[in-house]
Amino acid sequence: MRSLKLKKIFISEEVLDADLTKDILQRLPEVPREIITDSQRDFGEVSIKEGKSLLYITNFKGKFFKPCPGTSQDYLCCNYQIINEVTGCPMDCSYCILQSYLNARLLTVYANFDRIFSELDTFLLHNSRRIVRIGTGELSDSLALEEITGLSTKLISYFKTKENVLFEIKTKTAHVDFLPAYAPPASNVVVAWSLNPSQLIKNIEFKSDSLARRLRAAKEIQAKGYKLAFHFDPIINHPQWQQNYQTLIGQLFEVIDPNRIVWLSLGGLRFPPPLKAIISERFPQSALIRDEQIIGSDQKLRYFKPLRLKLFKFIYSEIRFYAPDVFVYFCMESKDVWEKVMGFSPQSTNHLDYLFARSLYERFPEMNFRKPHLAEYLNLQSKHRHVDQIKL
Amino acid sequence: MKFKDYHLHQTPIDHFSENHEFDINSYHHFEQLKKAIKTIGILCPVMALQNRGALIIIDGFKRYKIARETGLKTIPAILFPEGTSLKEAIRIRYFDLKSSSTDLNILQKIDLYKLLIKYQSSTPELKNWLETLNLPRDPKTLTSLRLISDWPLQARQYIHQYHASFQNIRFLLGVPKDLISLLFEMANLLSIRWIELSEIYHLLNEIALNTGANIREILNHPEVVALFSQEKVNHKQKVMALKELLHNWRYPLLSDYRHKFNLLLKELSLPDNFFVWYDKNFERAGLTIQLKINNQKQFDLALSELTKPLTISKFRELINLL
Repeated sequence: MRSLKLKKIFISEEVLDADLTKDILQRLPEVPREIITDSQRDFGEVSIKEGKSLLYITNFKGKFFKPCPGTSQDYLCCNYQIINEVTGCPMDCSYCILQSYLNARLLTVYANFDRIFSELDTFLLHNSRRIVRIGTGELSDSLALEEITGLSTKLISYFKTKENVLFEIKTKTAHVDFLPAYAPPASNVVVAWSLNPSQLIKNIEFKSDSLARRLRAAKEIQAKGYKLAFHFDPIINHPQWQQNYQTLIGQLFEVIDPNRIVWLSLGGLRFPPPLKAIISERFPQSALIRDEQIIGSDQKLRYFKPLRLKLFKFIYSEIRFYAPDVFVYFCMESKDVWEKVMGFSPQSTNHLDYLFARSLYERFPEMNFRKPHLAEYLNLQSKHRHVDQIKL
Repeated sequence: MKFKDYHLHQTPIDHFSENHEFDINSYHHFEQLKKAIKTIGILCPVMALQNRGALIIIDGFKRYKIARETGLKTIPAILFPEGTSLKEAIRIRYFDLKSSSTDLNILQKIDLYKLLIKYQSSTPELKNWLETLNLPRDPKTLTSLRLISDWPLQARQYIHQYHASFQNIRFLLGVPKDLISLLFEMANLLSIRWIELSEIYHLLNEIALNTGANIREILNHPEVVALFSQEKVNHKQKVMALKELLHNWRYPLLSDYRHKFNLLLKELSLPDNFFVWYDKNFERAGLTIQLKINNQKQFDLALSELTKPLTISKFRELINLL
C-alpha cells in the first residue's frame, strides 16, 4: 500500500482532549487540521476519492462491536463478530462495498474507541462456553490506518490474555512490522490476508499491496508466531481464471505452512446493485460490471450459481491439494453450494460455528480451547449472544 | 349566455390565435375525440382569454385542433372578460379545473414549470401562485422535469397513453433525444408498458456497455428487425421475444444453461397435468412439481409416469443442474 497521504484532518471539538486524537495529531504534525462543531459535521459533496485523503476524528455513538451482518436466510453465516474501530479505507478496490455502504466518505477514526473493551468484556463473559471468533476489517482494512491509530496493537494486547477467543486482523497491506513477536505457537491473534491473483490485484485492487508483498508479510508474520488466515474473497471470474488461481494457491503454499492457517474462506464477487453504477462511473473500463450476475436472495448481485460452482470447485480442489486439513468455509453461500463443492453442508449458522470450533479444538491442542459440544452450539439463541442484547 | 363573468359564444375558429403555449394533453384519446366530434360536434366549450383582440385558448386546444382538421367554422367557447390576466387564466385552467395540484399529471406539471420558467421574472405574482401548488421544487426534480419537457412527441404520447409518472420514466433521464424518440416509438408501436420498457432499456444499455455497440445499432440488428416484422405475432409475443433475445445477448452463460435445462424438461414429455417450477436464475436449489389430478385414473397415470426409469433419470439430471 502506498504510504498514507492525508490532505486534512477534521477534529470534532468534543474529542480534542482525547488521547487518541493527541496521538494522531502528534504522528501527523504536517497535515492541516480543522476543529469542527456538531453543526459543521456535514461535509457536503465529498467524492469517494477525495474522502480517502481526509481524516475525521470524532466520537462514535453506536456499538463498536456487532455480529457480522449475514443478510439472508438462504445463505449460511458463521456467527463471526466484528469490531468497527475505523470506517473508510485509503485503498481503492473497485469492487469495494464501502463505496456504496458508507454515508460518510471521510476516513473516520473514533476517539472513544476505548469503550470497546467494556463491550468485549461483557460479551466474552456471556460466551465463555464457546470458542468465539472476533475480527476487524469489515468497514476498513485492519492495518491501513494502523501507523497513525495503533488500534490493532491495542486490540492485540487486549485479546492475547483471553481464553477461547481468536482475534482476526484482515488486511490487503504488508504493514506488519509493528506487530510484536509472539511466543510461538500459542498466539490467539490471527493475521489474515485477502488474496487474488496478482493480475487482478494490479487491475482492480488499487493502492493495495501487491501479492508478492502480501505473501512476504504473511511469511514474516508466520515467523513471528501468529496464526494465519486467507480469504479468497471476492473470487472473480476472468479470462485465464483457472490458471491464475492455480498459480496463486501454489504461491501461497510455497511460503506458508498449512498447519499455521486457522481457516480459509471462499466467497464469490457480490455487491449491492447500486454499487454497479458507482463502479461504472469510477472505473468505466472495469470488467466487473460486465459479467453475468443475478440478484441473489440477499438482494446482492452475484455470479449465477453454476458459474460460482465452477469457480469454487476448482479453487477448493487446488487448496485441498496443498492443505487437506485446513478448515475451509464459504462466506454467505447456500447449503447446496457447500454440498456440491465440499460434499457436506452445515445445517445452520450455529452448526457452522460449531464446525469452526471443532476444527480449532482438534487442530490446535496447544491453545487449550474448551472442548466444543454440538448441543451447546445448536442451542445458542442468537438474541442472547450479543452484548447489546444481554440484560445484565 | 352568461356564466358568472364569463361569456359562452359560438366563436368563429379563425378568431383564435395559434398559441401553442397551452398545447398540452393533446394526444390523449385524440382519435376517439376526433371521431366523437365528427359525429356530434363539440359539446364541451373551450376556454379562451381575450388578449388585444386575439383569443388565446387556455383549455381545449385538442378540441380546437380537431375543429380545424375537420373543417368546423365555429366552436363553442367560454371567453374570459377582456383584461383577465394570464395569471388568472392559468389559475382557472390548472386550479379551478382541478380539485388539487396532486391531480396534475406529469405533463401538466412540466407545462406549469415551463410557464414558471418563462414568466417568473416578469410576473412575480404568477411565480408566487405557482409556488402555492406545492410542486416539487428541488433542483434535481426541476432539472429532470425540464429534461422531460424537451422530450419529443412520441414520449409525450406514451406518457399519456400509459399514465406514466415521473418515477416510472426517470430511468430515461439523460438519454439523448434521438434515442428517446426511437425507444418511445418502439414502445408506442408494440404497446410496451413502462416496466417492460425499463427492463428492455436496462438490457440494451448493458449490451451496449459490454459490446461497444450503441443502442440504435442493437435495435437495428437483423435479428431484432426480423422479430419486429414477424407476421401473425401479436405485440405481447413480440415484446417477450425481444426481451428473450436481449437477455440471451446480455447473459449468454445463463441463457445457455436455461436452454439446456428446458431441453431436458422437454425431453421428459410430461403430460399436460404436470407443471414444473424452478428458479430461472438457478439460485435456489430444487424444483417444484405440481400435479393436477381430477380422478383415480389420472392419479394412477401420474404415478406410473413419475416412476418410469426414464423419467426418474431425467429428473435426476434436472435436479443436478439446479
